[in-house]
Amino acid sequence: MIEVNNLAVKTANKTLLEPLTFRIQKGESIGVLGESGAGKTMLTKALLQLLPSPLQVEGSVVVHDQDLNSSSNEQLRSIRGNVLGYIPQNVQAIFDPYRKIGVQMVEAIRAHERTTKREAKSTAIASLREVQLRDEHYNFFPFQLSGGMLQRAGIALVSSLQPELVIADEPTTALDEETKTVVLELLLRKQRDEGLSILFVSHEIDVIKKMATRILVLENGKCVERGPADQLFNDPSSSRLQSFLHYETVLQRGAMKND
Amino acid sequence: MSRTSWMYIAMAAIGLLMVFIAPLLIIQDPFSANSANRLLPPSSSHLLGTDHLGRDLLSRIVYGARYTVVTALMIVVISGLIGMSIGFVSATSGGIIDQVFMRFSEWMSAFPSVILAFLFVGIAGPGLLNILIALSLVFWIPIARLVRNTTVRTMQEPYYESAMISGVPHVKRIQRHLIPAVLPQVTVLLALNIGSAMLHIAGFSFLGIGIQPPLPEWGAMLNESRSYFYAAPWLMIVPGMAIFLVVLFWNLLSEQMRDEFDQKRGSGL
Amino acid sequence: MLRILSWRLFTLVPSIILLSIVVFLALHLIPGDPAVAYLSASQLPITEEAIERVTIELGLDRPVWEQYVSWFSSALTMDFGTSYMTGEPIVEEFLFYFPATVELSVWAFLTVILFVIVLGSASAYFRKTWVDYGSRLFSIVGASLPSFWLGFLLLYVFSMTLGIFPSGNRGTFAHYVLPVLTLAIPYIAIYSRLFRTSLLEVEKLPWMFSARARGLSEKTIWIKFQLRHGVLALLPVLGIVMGYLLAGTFIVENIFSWPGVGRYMMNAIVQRDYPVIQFYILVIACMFLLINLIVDLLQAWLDPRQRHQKDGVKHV
Repeated sequence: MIEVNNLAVKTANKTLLEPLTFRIQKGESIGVLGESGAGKTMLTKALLQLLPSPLQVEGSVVVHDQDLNSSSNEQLRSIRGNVLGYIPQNVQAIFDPYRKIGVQMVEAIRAHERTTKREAKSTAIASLREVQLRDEHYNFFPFQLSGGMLQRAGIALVSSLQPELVIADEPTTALDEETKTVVLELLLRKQRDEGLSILFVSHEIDVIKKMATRILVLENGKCVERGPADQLFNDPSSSRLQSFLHYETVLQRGAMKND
Repeated sequence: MSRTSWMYIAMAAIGLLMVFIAPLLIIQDPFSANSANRLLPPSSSHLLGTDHLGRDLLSRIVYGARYTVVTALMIVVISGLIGMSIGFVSATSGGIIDQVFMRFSEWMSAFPSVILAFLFVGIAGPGLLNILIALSLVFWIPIARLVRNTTVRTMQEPYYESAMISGVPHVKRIQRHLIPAVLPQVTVLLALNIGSAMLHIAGFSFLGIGIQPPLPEWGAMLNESRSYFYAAPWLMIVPGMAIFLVVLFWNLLSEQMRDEFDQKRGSGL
Repeated sequence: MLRILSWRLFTLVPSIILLSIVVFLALHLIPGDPAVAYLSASQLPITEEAIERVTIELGLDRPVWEQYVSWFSSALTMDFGTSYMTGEPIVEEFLFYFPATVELSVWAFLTVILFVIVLGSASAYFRKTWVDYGSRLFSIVGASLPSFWLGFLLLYVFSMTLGIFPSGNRGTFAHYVLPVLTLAIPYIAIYSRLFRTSLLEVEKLPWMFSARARGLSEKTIWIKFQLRHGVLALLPVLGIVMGYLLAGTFIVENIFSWPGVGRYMMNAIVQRDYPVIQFYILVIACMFLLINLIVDLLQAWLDPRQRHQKDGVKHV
């Protein structure tokens, strides 16, 4: 459903993201693994065509036979949210702190669909229920929710627009273990039941393992390794992934000792 | 600093020199009244015309520069020294001194500086000296706040802490880390203050509670000849333009320095 | 809300009393005999005998603290003494001049708000175009103009030469245009630039990215997000501007012969009319404290985080 060909990000004299090519099928989930500063967030922003102007984006991002790199602002606007959903790492970065969650959901729904306020409101409330939030959270301000609830509300907002691909930029890094599981299960269920595609970006290997069937490993703005998840984890060739896995085993051993 | 900044500074230096040298070169006496020459328009003998008492406007403007400009510079130097020392002491000593200073400056900043200065003149009475004291008294507070906040922030930076741990002597730390962090911002503010001090001095003199006629202070000159403006517009245009251009110069200088400073820090608004 | 309001008002009282003591002492300790000032202000001959009589009449022979207590107790009944110049009660005189000043400053205030928002958002929206550069030029020039000169220029062009607007006094709408502009232009110049900066700061906030990523239109983002937060950030500044305008009308009133407090006060300063000066300083101080209080409350009310404050919940 999305085809990325030689996508690269450059400044006037430096390449920040080396040309990258991949595609995501309907219902598939791809994991992007990398340390902070490897260019993961840059990749997500480049996909959405939302990088600040001094950065140049090259290559193409094709969604429904339409190249986003050469689309008009209005075309891009109708694709963002509607086709490509985005979940940020920082839960405080989802909602405007000064307005109620429900109001912002309705605003987003009505930006893409001609509906009445009432219909949009019932869509929003249905989405909130789907993520195990209560109806009254519709009238809450963002600061009245805990981090985990806020991330769920963010997912409710994204899914109320019914996108085909969700780009999740470290959506669980800031969450505790329990909430993390809830959020991941939620995304996996949407993938299973509704054929949602997911681009899952993380530096946590266990999360990627759980979420992704295929994996890209980024290092310093370059894709150093790629392939199906099970194959990669069994036979890692890049030193980066090896050290990731090594670190993981050390952690697990340590955890076992503590038990 | 860039070439543009140096150009401004050179211009300021030349201007300041002119303030003291030019009156020696000017033949006409700025004070001698001559009723035969009343309200003459600009001509070759009086380049900027004459005022209602027949005094040459050009020599009055040149001679008068010292009052506005020099007083403003004095205010900025005095308030700058007071502000920097108090801000620095407050930041480095911390504790109760810092607390008291912060409370006091918060309370003072509830009132705009012009009004405070005006009220001070109201209490102490009109006059050049009182204006100098009043404006110095209100101008030091924002400078002290700026110095205090920047110093505190710098002292919390990792590089400062590591310099402290690795035993770099006090004086060296101040030289290497604190002064480079504080100085650019303070200079921007000081340049801005020169312009604003000039506007205040001229404003007070215009209202008749600053420098008094017959001294040719620019604001006082405007007030003195206001009833002749319709007949002799140059009496209005010339002194006002003089104030405007000098203030504009300092504001542009301040803006230029802030731009350079921002670029160095990498925020490109 | 009402309880917070009355508590905050109550906490202002010590500041005001302290200030009144400081001002009282300052006026009584500086060189210059109030008795002489009284005589010259009321245009009586200054003789030794007259000074002695006035000193006793005004109670200046008593210790300062006694004078303060008697001043303070009559102040509690809204009696702030009489003016040296006119012999009239100060409160009455002040209330006679005050409305003209309030009118002038309120109109200037509204003008400032309107132009700051329009100019600031135009230059942020069209940034790095001629709109932005033009407004930058305007703001540097406007901030460098002496306001008395600006007043004269406006008078010369629009009143004397073109004859569009009258040159002084109050009356019709046309009387307000020039004084209001003279008062407002410097503030518009300074604060439209500030507003532009705060709009661009909002642009950098993290949830602005999410708002774009969910496909909201630029119009929605501009009005509902950017402008809204920009105006909220402007609010404390607007309070300061209102204070400035109310207390800073001396020059404009002088130029346009506006019968307001500024001119009344100028006379008092030149004539050393101590009771009037003292009263005016207190009024100004109270005004500023009150304006700060209003801004604080307004901000708390507009910020949902403070409106719905739950204990122990801290937010970024």
